[in-house]
Amino acid sequence: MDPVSEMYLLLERIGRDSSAVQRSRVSIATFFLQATRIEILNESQQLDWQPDITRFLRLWDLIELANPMLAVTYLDAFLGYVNVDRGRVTERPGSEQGARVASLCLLRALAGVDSGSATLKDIRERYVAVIPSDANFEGLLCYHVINVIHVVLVSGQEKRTISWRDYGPHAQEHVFFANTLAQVIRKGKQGEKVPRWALRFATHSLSHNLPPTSVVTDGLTIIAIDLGCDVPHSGTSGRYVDP
Amino acid sequence: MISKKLETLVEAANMNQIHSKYKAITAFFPYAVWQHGPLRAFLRAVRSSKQHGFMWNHIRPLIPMLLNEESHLSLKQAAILASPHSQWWKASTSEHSIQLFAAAASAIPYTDEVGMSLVDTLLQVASDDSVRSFIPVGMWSWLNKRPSLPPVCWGRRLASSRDVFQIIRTLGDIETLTSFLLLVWSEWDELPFEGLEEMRASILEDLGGIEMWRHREDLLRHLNHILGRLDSGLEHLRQHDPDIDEGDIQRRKDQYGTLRGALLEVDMEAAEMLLREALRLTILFCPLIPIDRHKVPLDVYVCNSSPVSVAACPGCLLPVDQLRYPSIRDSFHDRVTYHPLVSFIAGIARFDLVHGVGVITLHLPIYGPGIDVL
Repeated sequence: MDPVSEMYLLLERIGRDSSAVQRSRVSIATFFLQATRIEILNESQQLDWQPDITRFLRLWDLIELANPMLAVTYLDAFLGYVNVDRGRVTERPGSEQGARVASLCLLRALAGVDSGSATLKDIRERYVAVIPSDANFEGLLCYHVINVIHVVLVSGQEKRTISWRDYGPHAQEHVFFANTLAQVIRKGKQGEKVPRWALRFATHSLSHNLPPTSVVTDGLTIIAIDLGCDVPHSGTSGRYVDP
Repeated sequence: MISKKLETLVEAANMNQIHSKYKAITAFFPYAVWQHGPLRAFLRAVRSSKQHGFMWNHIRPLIPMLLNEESHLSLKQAAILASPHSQWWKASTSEHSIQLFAAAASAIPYTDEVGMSLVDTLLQVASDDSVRSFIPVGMWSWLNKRPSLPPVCWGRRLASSRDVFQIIRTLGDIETLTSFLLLVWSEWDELPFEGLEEMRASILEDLGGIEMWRHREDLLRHLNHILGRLDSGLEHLRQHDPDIDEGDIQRRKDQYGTLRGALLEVDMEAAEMLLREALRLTILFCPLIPIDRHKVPLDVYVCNSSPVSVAACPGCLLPVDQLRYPSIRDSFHDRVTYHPLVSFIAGIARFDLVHGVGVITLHLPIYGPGIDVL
């Protein structure tokens, strides 16, 4: 068994309540990000990455990797995976999946960061120091995710155009991303309009043939928030579907 | 939750809020198409809006997908009901998408609601230069169902242009032409000047002649209804058009009054033609039938010679006032008072006397001259 699979099994066995896991979140998160990258570098496993990200996302709740304190770790990892040249952001060779996972993790963690917190301020400063406000993410494997992060972290980007036409991830990733987006939207200011790109995501997701149930729930949540409905909070448990 | 919210917005008649939320309302559509309740709530919300193409343009590609041959009937129906508010044809300006729409329309059960959406959509498509030519001729027959169109109806408003009406005229089908006029004439909308002129010309050129009496009667009745509504004041019209003023009403009165005048003009010409022919027959005909001065005896059967449509039981009497030919009736009232030959005019064609001495066949000039009395 490869070290990554062994780590998965170990963490599944230990569980979230383990004090060791609680103390080692940063290390575990870094390990996952690194492990993802390592796997991608191995050509023989490149086509088989999807089941691994599925396992990763299954473990997400288990070990609370969405802890806001990890957002900086994820951001640093993401910035390490990309190059920026005159506003155009590209992945470093072999880092496509690493950037993808790191961006997913970062967005998820950002959903839990308080809007006025010092953590968010720190993340923003680190981000804008590297990524310009008019950054072009076209061509990135994580195009959709990083665009949402950009809107969240850079002021004045609310009306940024994000094209969802080609967004067709694996069901597991769709579930994860939809739930993260719903959380990001839920964190918006009371009475504030839901951004157009989020409603377009909901439209796109609901237009799929038989989208996963939780994606439907999250799409409707985004719509309901914009309509001013009182949407009860729902957790993330049970949102994952079998790949 | 969302359905209830939409119902609340509609019941509160809060147009500003509905318009400000059109993206969220539209984003709900892909989910609503699968279920009756949400679809009803969605349709109520979009129909309460006066905004043209209310639905968000990002939803447009979905409609042709729902209209696809393989779609379930309920999805096709949902797409058709939403069509007047989506302008989906702008996203796929191809003949195929219009054909899909026509095929889907023929596949689902017809209801007045479906008919309303089909006609509204057809009229909007017809008013769009880029897709008008793709409309199959058979689609125009939908107009002949004459569904009730809502007060706010973009198809009706846009299609009253000269361009669209010229296409209707070139079809050469008087039934469709009459249906079109009945659908686009409304107290809720003002007609564009060029469209009005084309309609007036059509009345004079296409709707003259004796055989057109039924079409003129339908149109006159409809115009009288519209003018009556316009006479009833602002309150009725402001229900759906809060900005309308007396000036708007007067312009509409002038427009529909002009059209009514043109119809009466051709109707009068037809009446005079009939009158001339009928009076010429008096000498031959009067001695054969006992005539009450105030009643026309209808103890006759009217044969099927076109356009006769009246049949009567032997012995019954039909008051002249009930004749189905308004301007001729008026003409007789004004100029001839009661003339027994009104009964001919009502029938226009051949009469078989049951208790008479034989068969009277009346040939008016349009069918060929000649009178046979047996």
